[in-house]
Amino acid sequence: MLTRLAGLLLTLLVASVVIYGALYLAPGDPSTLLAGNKATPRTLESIREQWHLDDPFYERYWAWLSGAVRGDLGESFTYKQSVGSLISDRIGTTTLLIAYAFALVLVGGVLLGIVGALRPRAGAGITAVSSVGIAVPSYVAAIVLITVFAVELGWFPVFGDGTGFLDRLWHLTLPAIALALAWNAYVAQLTKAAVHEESLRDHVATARSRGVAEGAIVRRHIVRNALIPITTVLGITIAGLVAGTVVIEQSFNLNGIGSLLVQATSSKDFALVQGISLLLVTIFVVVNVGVDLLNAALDPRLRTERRP
Amino acid sequence: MTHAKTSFLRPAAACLAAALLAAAGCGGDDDGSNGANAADSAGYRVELTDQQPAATKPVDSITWALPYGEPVTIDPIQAGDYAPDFMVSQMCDFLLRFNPKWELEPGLAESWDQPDDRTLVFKIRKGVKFWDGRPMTVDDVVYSLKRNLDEDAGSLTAPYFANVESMEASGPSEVTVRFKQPDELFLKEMAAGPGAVVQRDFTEKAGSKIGTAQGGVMCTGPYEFESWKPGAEIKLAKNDDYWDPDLQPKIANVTVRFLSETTTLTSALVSGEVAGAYGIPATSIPALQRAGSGTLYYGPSTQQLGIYTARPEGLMADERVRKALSLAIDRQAIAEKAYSGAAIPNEAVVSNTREQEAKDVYAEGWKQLPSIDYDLDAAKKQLDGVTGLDKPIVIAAPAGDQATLDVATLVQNAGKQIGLNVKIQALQPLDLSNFYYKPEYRKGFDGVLSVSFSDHPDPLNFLPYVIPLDAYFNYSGWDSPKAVRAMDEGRRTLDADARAKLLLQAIQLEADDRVTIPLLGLANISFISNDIGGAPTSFAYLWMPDFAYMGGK
Repeated sequence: MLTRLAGLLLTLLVASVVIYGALYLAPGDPSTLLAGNKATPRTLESIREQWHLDDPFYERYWAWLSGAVRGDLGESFTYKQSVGSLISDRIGTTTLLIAYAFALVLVGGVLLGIVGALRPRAGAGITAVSSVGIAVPSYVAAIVLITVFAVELGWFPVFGDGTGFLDRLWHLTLPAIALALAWNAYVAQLTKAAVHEESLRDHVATARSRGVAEGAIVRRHIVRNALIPITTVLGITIAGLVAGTVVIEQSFNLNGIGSLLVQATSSKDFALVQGISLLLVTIFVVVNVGVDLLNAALDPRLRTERRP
Repeated sequence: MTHAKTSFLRPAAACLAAALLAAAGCGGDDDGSNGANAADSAGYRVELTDQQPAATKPVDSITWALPYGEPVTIDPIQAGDYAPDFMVSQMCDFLLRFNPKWELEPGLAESWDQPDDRTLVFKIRKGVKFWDGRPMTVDDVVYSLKRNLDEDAGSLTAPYFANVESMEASGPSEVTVRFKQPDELFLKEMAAGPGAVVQRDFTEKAGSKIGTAQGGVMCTGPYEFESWKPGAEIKLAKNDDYWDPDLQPKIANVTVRFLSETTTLTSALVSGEVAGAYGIPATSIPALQRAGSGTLYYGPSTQQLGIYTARPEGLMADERVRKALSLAIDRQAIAEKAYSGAAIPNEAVVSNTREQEAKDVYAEGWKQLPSIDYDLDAAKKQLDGVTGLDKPIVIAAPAGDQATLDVATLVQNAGKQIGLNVKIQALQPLDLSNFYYKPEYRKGFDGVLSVSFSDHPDPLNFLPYVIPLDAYFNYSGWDSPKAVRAMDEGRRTLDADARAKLLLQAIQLEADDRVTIPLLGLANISFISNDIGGAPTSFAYLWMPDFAYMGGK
C-alpha cells in the first residue's frame, strides 16, 4: 500500500511539472483576456506584474509547488478566488453526476450485456442499439434529450444543477443519461462478449452435464468469472465518465469541475488548470488501484501469484 | 469594442438543435407586430423597435440569460465588453442616462451646464443613498470620476478623460470638470460606465477585489448586488429605496445566468425557463421565431461587422485587393443568410445607426462613401496588375460565434469568384485577444473578421480605435494625418452639425482607402418572455438599467 501511495505522489509530481510546463510553453498571454478590450499597455503591464506572468518558469512553478505542499493550490486569476474553494464549490455536482451516470452504466450496461449473452435473440437487438449508442457523440445526445424531454415535454430542466439532493437529481437526470449513453453501450458489448466467452468454457459444460441448476451455473460459473474483465472495463468507464463531464457540463450549463476546466484552460489560468488536472490524475490513479484490488479479490489466482 | 464569445459548441450541434426545435414546431407564431415602440427600420427587412410598451405589474422573480457568458468584472472602470457593461448598468447609476434613442437624460446629476466650452458643471442629486443606506456625496462622485484615470486598477476608460484638466467638487452638490480643450465626447460618456458612481469607502476597502465575485460593488442603482456564483449566475435584488420615482423596480429578484452555449440558451428561452436575453445569436433566430414562450425583438444598434486588415504586409495590405474583395461580397445576401435579415449592408468602419444627432448631415455624408454594391466586374478590374494572387488571404474569426463564421464562409466564396484564395482560421478567445493586442500573434494573418460596437451612435466613440496610427484596431499601418486632424477637431467641436461634417471626413478618408472592409450593420436582437414588458430593445440597453424598466404584463 505504501508503494502505491509513493507511486501516486510521484505521478502527481511529474504530472504537475508537465502540466505547468505545457501551459507555460503554450502560446498566449492571458493578461490580454483579463484586461478586456482596448486596455492601455500600462494596464496590461500591471496585470502581468500582479500575477507574476513574466517570471521565469522555475520561479513560478516553485512558488506554486511550495504552496501546494502546504495545501494551498494558489489563486485563480480569472476568478480572483482560491483554487481550493473554486473546486470544492463544484466537486459535489460533478461527483453526483458521475455517480448517477455510473449507476446507469452498472444497471443498464452490465445487465443488458448479461441478458444479451444468455438470450441470443435479444442479443442481436442489444448489439444494434448499443452500436447506435456508441456512435452518438454525447453533445448530440445532450441536444436531443434537451429538445425532447426538457423543451417539448417539459419533464426536466434545460440547464443548471439545482439545490438540495432531490432537486439536484432531477436536474442531473438528463446530463447523466447523455453522459452514460455511450459507456452504457460499450459496457454492454464487452459484458456480452465476456459472458459469452465464459459460457462456452469446458467447466460450464461439465457443470451442465452434472445437472447443476442453470441459475447456479450462470451465477457461479459464468458471471462470476466474467466479472474480472467487466470490472476492468468499469474502471475505464469511470475514467471516461470523468473526462466526459467536460462536454456534458458545458452542454447543460452545469457548474462543475468539467466546465471549470474548460474555462480555466481557455484562459490559461495556471493555478486553476493545475489544481483540476491534479485532481483528475488522482482520481485516475485511485480508480486504477481500486480495479486492481477488486480483481485480486475476485480472482484467487491473482492473489496466489503475488506470493513469492 | 470587440467581443469574442466563449463557446465550444460545434457548428453541427447548433444546426441540429435548430433543426430539432424547428421540426418540433414549438408553437406560437411571430407575426412581427407586438405594439412596441417602432423605430426607423433603417433599411432592415425586419421591423425595428426600441422599447416594449410599459408593463407595471409586480413580479416575484425572473431568470435572465447572459449569452456572452460570465462577466470578467462588475467594476464600472474595468468594464469593456457586453457582459460587464450590462451588469454594471443594472446596478450602478451614471451621472447621466441614455433613453432607448440614446438621448441624454438626467441621472445622478439632476442637471448639467456648460458655462463655457471648456467647463462642465454637474448638479448632483440630493437624497440619493447607496444600498447600504449611506448617502451619496460629491466626494463619492469625484472619487468615482477620478478612478477612471487609474490604469493600474485596470481602468479601460482613461482615454475618455484625456482632455480633462481637473475634476473637483465646487459645492456641496456640484461637481465641476475643466478641460484642456473642448471635448464633446465626455458628456455622452457620462451616460455610460465612465460616469458611474461607486461608494468611495467600500471601493477603497475592497482594493483589488472590487468588481469580483467576492468583492462585489457598492452603488446606488435600482438593483442591488446580492451574490455571484462563479461560473453560474449573479443574483440581484431590487433596491427598495431607489431615488427615481419614475423607475421603481417592479421585479423583486433577478438571477442572471451565464448561458454562452447557444443550444442551451435557445432551449432555455423556448422552454420559458429564462425570461429573456439581450444579444441573441443570429443562428437562434429561426428556432426562436417559432417559440411560443416569448417574442423576438430587433432594435437599432451601433454594432457592426467588418474585416480589419491584420498587418502592413501581405496581400490585404494592398489597397486594390481590399477593394476587390469588398466589391465581390454580396452583403444583402449575407445579411439574409447569416443573420436572417437582422442586418444591413454597411458602408463604413462605423455603423449608420440613424438614431443620432445631425441626422441630415450624416445621411448626406453617407451617400458620398464609396459604393459597396455587389459588382464582380468592378472587383476583377481592381485586381488588374496585382501579382502574387495565388497566395492565400488568411482571415481570423472568433471560434464559437456561428453567425460570424457563416459570414466568413460566404466571404471565402466571394473571394473565390474573383480568384482570391481566402482561408478562414477560427481563433479561441485567448488567441483572439492576443491577436488584438500583439503584432507577433497577427503574423501569418491578413485580416480579422470582427463585431464591434460603440457605446452610443456618435462615431467619436469608435473612431479613435481605428483612425490614429497607433489605434487598437489599426494594424495595417494606415497613416492619415488628415483623418486624425478631422477626428480630433470633431472632438473639440461642440456644434453637432459641424462636428458631423468633420467626423464624416475621417470616415470618408478611411473608406476611400478601404482600410477595413465594412460588411454589415447588426440589429440588436433580444428575446423577451410574453409575461414581461417595458424592456428597452435598442442597443442602448447596454448602458440602461433595463430590469428597472421591466415589469409584469
